[in-house]
Parts: sequence; C-alpha cells; structure tokens
Amino acid sequence: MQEIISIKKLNKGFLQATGERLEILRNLDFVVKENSFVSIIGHSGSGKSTLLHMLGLLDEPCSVDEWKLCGSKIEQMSLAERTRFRGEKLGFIFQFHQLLPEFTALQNVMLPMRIMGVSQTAAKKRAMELLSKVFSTEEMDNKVYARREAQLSGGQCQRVAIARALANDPPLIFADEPTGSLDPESAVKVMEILKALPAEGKAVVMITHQMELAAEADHIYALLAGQLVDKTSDIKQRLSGTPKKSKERHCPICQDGILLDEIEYQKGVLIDQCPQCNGVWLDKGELEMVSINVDAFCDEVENIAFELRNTK
Amino acid sequence: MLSKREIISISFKLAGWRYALLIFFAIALTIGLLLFTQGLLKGYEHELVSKIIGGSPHVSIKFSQQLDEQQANQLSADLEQRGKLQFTAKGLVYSGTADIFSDQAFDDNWVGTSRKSQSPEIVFKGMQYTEAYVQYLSKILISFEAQAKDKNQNNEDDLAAIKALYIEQADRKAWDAHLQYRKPIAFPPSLYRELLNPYAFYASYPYLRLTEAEKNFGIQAKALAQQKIEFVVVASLDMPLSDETISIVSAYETIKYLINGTAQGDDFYNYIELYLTDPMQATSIAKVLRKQLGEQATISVWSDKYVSELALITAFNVLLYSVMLGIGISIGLLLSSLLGITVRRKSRQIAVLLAMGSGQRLIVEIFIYYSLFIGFIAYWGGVIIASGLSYGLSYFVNAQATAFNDYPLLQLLQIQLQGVPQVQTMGLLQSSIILIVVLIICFISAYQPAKKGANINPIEGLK
Repeated sequence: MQEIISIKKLNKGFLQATGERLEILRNLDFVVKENSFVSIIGHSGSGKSTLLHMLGLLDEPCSVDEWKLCGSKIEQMSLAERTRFRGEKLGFIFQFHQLLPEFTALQNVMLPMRIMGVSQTAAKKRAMELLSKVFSTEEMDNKVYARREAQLSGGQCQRVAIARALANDPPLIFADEPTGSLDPESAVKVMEILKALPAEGKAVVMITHQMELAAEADHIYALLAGQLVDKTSDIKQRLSGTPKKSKERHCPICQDGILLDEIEYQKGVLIDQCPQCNGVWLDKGELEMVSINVDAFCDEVENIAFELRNTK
Repeated sequence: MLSKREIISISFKLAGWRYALLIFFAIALTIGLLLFTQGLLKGYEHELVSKIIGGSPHVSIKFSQQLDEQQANQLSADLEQRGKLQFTAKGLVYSGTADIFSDQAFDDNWVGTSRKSQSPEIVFKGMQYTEAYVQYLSKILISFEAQAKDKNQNNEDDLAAIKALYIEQADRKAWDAHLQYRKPIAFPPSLYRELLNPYAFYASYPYLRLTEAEKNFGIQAKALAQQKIEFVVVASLDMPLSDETISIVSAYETIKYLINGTAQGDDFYNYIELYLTDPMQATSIAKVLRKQLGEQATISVWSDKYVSELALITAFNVLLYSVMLGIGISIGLLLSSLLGITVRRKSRQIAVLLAMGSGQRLIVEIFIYYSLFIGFIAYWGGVIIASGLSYGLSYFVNAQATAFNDYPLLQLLQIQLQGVPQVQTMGLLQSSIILIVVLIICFISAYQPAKKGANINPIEGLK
C-alpha cells in the first residue's frame, strides 16, 4: 500500500504571550498508508489538534523536511492550490460537528460539492446517497435530511458531518475527537461509520482521548513530547487484558495516571509522559526527574543527554 | 463553482434577513427621497425653463443703429429663411414721453394706481400671429365666455367679436362696435393666482395687438382721439422691466396716448427677437449670429437673463446631492458595521467554509454580493417609493391643476399657481449614475468586512 501521509521532521511552535516560544511538535515523523485507520492519542495540549490542522492544511509548520499528502508535495503548493487540495482530497470531522446551522442537513452535505464545482443535481444525488448511509431508513423516511442543526440530535449532527466530510469522496479523512460530544450510543454509531471507511478506500486519521475508541484503529499513536510514538500493541494488549510485559508504573506526579512505555527522546534518554496530568518523567536509573512543563523538561533533557554521552 | 444565486443565498443565510431589511429600508428611503426630491427639482426646473422660454425671446438681437420698418422686415425675413426659427418679432420702440397728465380721460379708463409712470423709451413687442396663439386665445375666450355671463349680461356678441378679433377674422366695423367690452386688467407679478380669474386675459408674454393697433389706429390715431376706445391687453407681468420689456401698464398707457395723440416721440425698430424651434440651441445660434453681425448688434439669449434662477436650481441640486451623499456614506458605514458584526458572529461558519475548501475569494464574494444585491433591490425599492410619492403629490396636491389642462400656456404658470411643481421623471443616464453610486457605496462598505471574513483563521474560527 502506498503512503497517503508522509511527514518527516515536522516542527511547530508558538510564541506565547509571555514572549517565550512553546514548541509543540518536535521533529515529528508520521506515515499513514492508504486504506488504514489511524488514531492518535495524547493528553490535552500535547499537540494533537495542531498536528491535525497541519495535516489538514489549515496551518503551516515552522519547518518540515517532507510534507506529502496523497502523493502531493504540500510545501510546493500555493495557498490557492492548498485550498483546492483541501476541498478535493481531505475530509474533516470535528468534535462539535460544525454544521452550518443556517442550512439543512442536505444543504450542509451538498455545500462542499458545490464549492468544488459539482453540479446541483449531481451534488444533491450524492448527498442523498451519503445521508442514506449515515441515517437509518426510518430517519430518511422522516426526512431528517431536511432539518437544520437545531432540529437534529448531537449524534445525527455528527453523522451529517461525516457525510459532509465524505461529500467530495476524499481519500483522506481527519476526525478530531468525533465522539467527544456524543452519548455512548451515538458514539458507537459514529465509530461504526468511521471503521467502515477504510474498506471504501479511505484512510482515516482520528484524534481521541479515549483509549477504547483509539483501539478500534489499525494503528495507534501517542503524541508524547511533540513526537508520535506507536502504541498499537501496548494499548491493544492493555485493553484486551493481556498482562503487560513491561513494568507498569503510576505517575509520580499525580499518582493516578498509568505511564505509557518510555520513548527514546534522545539517544540513551528514555522519557515517559502521563496521559492523565501531562507530567513528563525521565527514567535514567539514579537520575530521576519529573516536570509538568514539557519545554523546561526538554531543555533539561538536553543537558542530561549531554552528560550521559560524556559519561559513556 | 457556486452560482451567484447560491452565493447570495448563502450570504443571506449567514448575515440574516433582519440586517438585510434594515439596510434595504435605509437605502430605499434615501433613494426614494433623493429621486422624489430630484424629480421635484427637475420638475421645477422644467417648468421654470418652459416658462422662461415660453415667455422670453430665445435670442434677442439689439442693433446699435435704428432700423426703419423696411429694414426690420427685411432682416426678419432673412433670419426666418435660415431655419430653426418658429418666428421672429420685431421690437418697435417708441422713443418719447407719455404725458399722462394731459388727458383726463385716461383716468376714466385706467385701472390701477401706476398711471404716473413715465417711460423715456417704451418698447412694444409686436404680437406675432400664430396658430398656437390663436388656439390659446380661443380657449381662454371660451372659458371666459362660460363665466362671463354672470357679470356681463348680453355680452355674447361682444365675446364673439373679441374672439373673431383675436383670430383676425373680424372686420374693422365689428371690432369698433364691440371694443368697449372691457377695461384692461393688469396684475402685479406676485399675484399669479389672480390670473385664474376668468375675467382676466393673460399670456405668458406681453403680447400686444400692436399690428391691429397700428393698422386701425396707428397713423390715424389722432383722428380718433376723441373716440373713447378701450383695448383688451393680453399680457402677463412676470417679465422684468428693462429696456427691452414693457409692463402691461406702460404698454397700455402708451397705446392710450398713441391713440389719443398725446404721446410725443418717434417710432423705430432697433431689435429683433428670435423664437426657435429648439430653444436649447439658443446659445449656439447666438454664437453664430455674433460672428456674423459683429459690432452691429448685441445678442443675448434667454438663459443669460435667468442665470440666477437657473443657478438656484443647480445650487439646490448640489445641496440635495451633497446631503444625499452624506446620508449614503452614513448608510455605507451602517452597512459596513453590520457586516463587521456579521463576520464576528459568523466566524465559525466562515471557518467551516474555509475548511471545506472555500477560497478567500468566495468569502469576499459572499459579503460583496450580499451588499450589492441589497443595494440593487433597495434602489428599485427607492424608485417605487419615489414613484408613489410623486403620484401622491400629483394626485392630491396638484389635483386642481388638472382643471387647466386645456390651457397649454397656463401650464407654464403652475409653479406659481400651486407652489409645487409637477414631478419629472428622471432620465436614464441620471438614474443609472445614482444606481452606480449606490452600488459603489455598497461595494466599498462591504469590502473591508469581507476581507476581514476572508482572513479569518479557520483554526481560530473553529475553536
């Protein structure tokens, strides 16, 4: 299978109000194959949404070595080309559906197609097809598609949002916590639709807080200290009840969160991060350090790594 | 791509109908009032100009030397052959003094108190016999006839005689027999309403039956001095007194004394008036005549004498357009503010559109089309409002004026009669310019908020 997302050494940071620079994504590498379902987990503020915005061409990285989506080099595209690319090749599903409340469900689904130049008739036909996939027969009979956001339930809105994301038949779908605002029953329905998409030739990148939902994906990545770490086997094993091979430790800061496996942040420097309190933990035998400030921590790690290299 | 109709539909869904209605009414009322007031001014101008060109010579040629009758006739004939002329009128000048104290009989016939006036040079404007004038007088007389019975018993013969006289069908005998019909009636300029009195004869020009006077009494005036004769002088008094113009009072006086032989002086011609088929060409024709006649004559056109009146109209127009432009700018600021609010309120929707692949251009178009569409529709709303106001004004305020529709020249006086002119329809060019100005204001007003909307960061908008 070909790579539909290929990102190498992506960096993104923001200048804070205090004047300090906050690095969110650090030398991030990310590859997604066609027809795959990838989920990204991470604590609040870890940079999940920032990464998704970057992937969705809504934001610009500070630096990147390679930035390819659907085989196209993004860094070579103009703003207008990226806009067009976003409309044609990418589909977005937001946490709060983000339907246009002034439009009916049908019009919401038709709109992306009309923007991309699909004729009125063809757009309506496709919108109805998509809506009939996300709505039950009963709902279609009740003409739910003719209702506006205010007349739809949260789950129905999110299903309309999925239909809208699929409107232009994009090969790549980004879902930013698509079930975050839904009740469990609606969340299940939405996840069923999303899980079926790879079989239809689409790659799905989903961001979520919930490990149970993340586990539905083929690949699970955790965003730790600005980098993506493959946690597929770890999380799947944990959720399947299989005893964890490696030691499982509670976060020394909050004493509540269970630390994920360490990642090698620098050569010889293993770090771990608590998904609960966002604390970062460095395990280096005799040197143990915790911090809730990732940036300060990373600066400190630079020094430690330097010490370690010198020691060796 | 989205069609313009869809973009407008999206814009109305985003910005809402409440703002649209507010802006629509603001623009429509402004345009309506502008068109109505402008129409009113245009009507006033039209009536004023009509009155001026109907009551003034279009081009006046005043010669530096005196012409005798033969020379004047020759010159008139030459000018008339050039075309573009309806007719010419020769100005007969009586140079002398009308000694009003010499004839006590004058007092018996004079109506008014200005009999002591003396004119060192009195100009008669010879009436030109035209079909239009005959028709006009006939109508006046018929109207008069209907009313006259109340106060003038057994006057039908008199009326018929006068009518015949004015259409120049009467012979001297019939005229003589009935000339004592009525005293001359003079009206001061401020009392135009008096002109509605059916017992008054008037015209928009101090037509004087000088031809008749000369024919019947001119040379033989002295012989008839003892005969008591009254003239019916048809004139209006809106002409300013000048060396070229004579009021009805002095005209009457002079005739009286010409006839009675008490006036002393000489008659001569020294100017010719031209009445053009198109009075608006007066300036260009005057220019040609100036070149041809050089220093032999001084040439003036009708608009020269009414510069202040015409300038007043222009000043009113400038004032009107300035005020309306100010209101237009205010509406533009209102529109801009409302769209700015809309952009802030709908930043999430705009961000969603951008995330779905809308270019910045589409976002700009949404707000620009919204504004232009409202401006365009509101313009026509304004046209309807202006039409309604104009119709209402014509229907209610000018209702009485319709009673005089049969009097073509009386129509010229309706400004004074009613105080409110007829509203004139604005020309295509002028209304197109107003429409373009409205659209420009709408475009400029919408541009800034539209750009602001287009520059919304979708990430911020989606938060």
